[in-house]
Amino acid sequence: MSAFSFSRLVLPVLALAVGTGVQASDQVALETLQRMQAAAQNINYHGTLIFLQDGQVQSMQVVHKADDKGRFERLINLNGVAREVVRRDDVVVCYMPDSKEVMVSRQKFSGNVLSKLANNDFSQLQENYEFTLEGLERVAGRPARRIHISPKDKLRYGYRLWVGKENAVLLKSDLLNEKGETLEQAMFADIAIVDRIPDPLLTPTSTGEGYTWYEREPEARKTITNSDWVIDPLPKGFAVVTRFWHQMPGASAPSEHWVLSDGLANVSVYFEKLSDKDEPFVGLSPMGAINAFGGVRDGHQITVIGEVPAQTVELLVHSVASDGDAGDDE
Amino acid sequence: MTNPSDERLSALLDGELDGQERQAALDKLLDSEHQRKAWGRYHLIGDTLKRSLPGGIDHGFSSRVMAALADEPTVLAPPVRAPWGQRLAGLAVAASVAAVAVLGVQFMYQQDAQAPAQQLAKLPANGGAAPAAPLSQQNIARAAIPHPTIQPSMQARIQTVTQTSGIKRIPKTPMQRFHPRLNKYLIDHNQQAAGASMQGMIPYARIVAYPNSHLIQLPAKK
Repeated sequence: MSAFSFSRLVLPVLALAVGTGVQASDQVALETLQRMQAAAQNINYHGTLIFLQDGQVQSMQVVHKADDKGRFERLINLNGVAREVVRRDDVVVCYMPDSKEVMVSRQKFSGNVLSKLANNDFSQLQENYEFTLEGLERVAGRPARRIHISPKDKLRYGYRLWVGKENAVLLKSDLLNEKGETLEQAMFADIAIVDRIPDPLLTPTSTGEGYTWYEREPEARKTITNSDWVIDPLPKGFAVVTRFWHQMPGASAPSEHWVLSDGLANVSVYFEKLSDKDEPFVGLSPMGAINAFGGVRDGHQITVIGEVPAQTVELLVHSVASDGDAGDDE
Repeated sequence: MTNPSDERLSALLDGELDGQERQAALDKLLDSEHQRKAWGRYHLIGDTLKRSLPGGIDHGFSSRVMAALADEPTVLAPPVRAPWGQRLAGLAVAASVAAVAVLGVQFMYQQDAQAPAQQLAKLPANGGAAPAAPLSQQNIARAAIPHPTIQPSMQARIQTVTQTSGIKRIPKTPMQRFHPRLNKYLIDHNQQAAGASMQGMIPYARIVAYPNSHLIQLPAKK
């Protein structure tokens, strides 16, 4: 066979094979994520999670129960202060023994990523991210599909996920910064996927007795229809998911809380009225994988916080203006 | 100084204890918050007298040490042979104890910074001018003095130092400022975000893993 016929006949076939191969692997990656979201709705497990952040390694006990009665989760730090989070459906309770505080919160939004994946609506996600199946690896003694989620710009972080091949449980998750470096890692050291979770496993260790409880007034959690604020422009790919009134622990009055998302990354924007004695928080504060940026507008503390790069939270603060007063800066 | 254990602490600081006595004093020091505070004060006083204070005390350092200590078994270095009768404060002791001393300074400084007015009022007014300076200009020596367990002669000596040495106030570096509200935002965001996170329960891990609130870094004040 001559070189001529090779390039004419074989190369296009090769190219076609490689082309569809890449697309097929992306499709598998997205379908795996879909299965992963579904698994979160109907699989019970408990295990030990290793969490690495800021060069510090910690281990946590994780319990997850999901059935027709709802979704129950419990996570407790096994190192240092035994901070604990317990979730019963959309009520999340955080026990903080170090500050002797308990924070009760009702989740106001949930279905974002979930519903998009469930509805095969990958288009928004694929505008901002590339999804690649990188292969099969072993995590917590189980075969896992490694998926790389790579951002298409520097306004969001990337992810590397290891999803159990059999049960589609998320076994390991890396958060990657703009340079592709690992910011944060979470990995199950061991995990037991079980038929049922005994109730004691979901019971909080702490009773919260003698702690200060911060429980949000349900009536203070109304959805906002007309806001005094605008955020314009929004960082590319981000949209406002929800806006609601929100009582921060220790605050005298409810403040606005907006949630923005690009489909994967979530950002909160809080607008809190400043009193004379409050010292405003202005500028960037990195907290592990989370960045917060503060600014002052019209007598309000603006705080933007989320698992996104510093420039994204900063950009958002600069985009905040009180309605009809655009361009106001501190 | 009437408290016998404080006297023992002072002796430890001065290198006057040896062997078992030293070990007992160190054990007591590590067990007692009161003693750690006193230890920190004594060191600060000694450093003040020697004018060997750093330009700023790293508040974050003690927090980090505290966090590290929480995770590590306490290991005391073997006793350091100190010359008998050495009267200077600030003698080098085992490294872990030195860390405790920094903790002590931190505790003391925070405590005094919170209630400076009353504490300053306790100062003997023999020097005249000293207590009049505004809080923002307060120097480390004055922040260090006010505690009933310090003997009056020591107080008088420090006041003299205060008046003559002109030690600058401790600049608070941006990394050490703490905004109490930020920790609550961090928790709240992660509570909310978990409902929408692809990463499942990892936002909860961020809540429980994040170091204690005083370690949160803040930007420089504008």
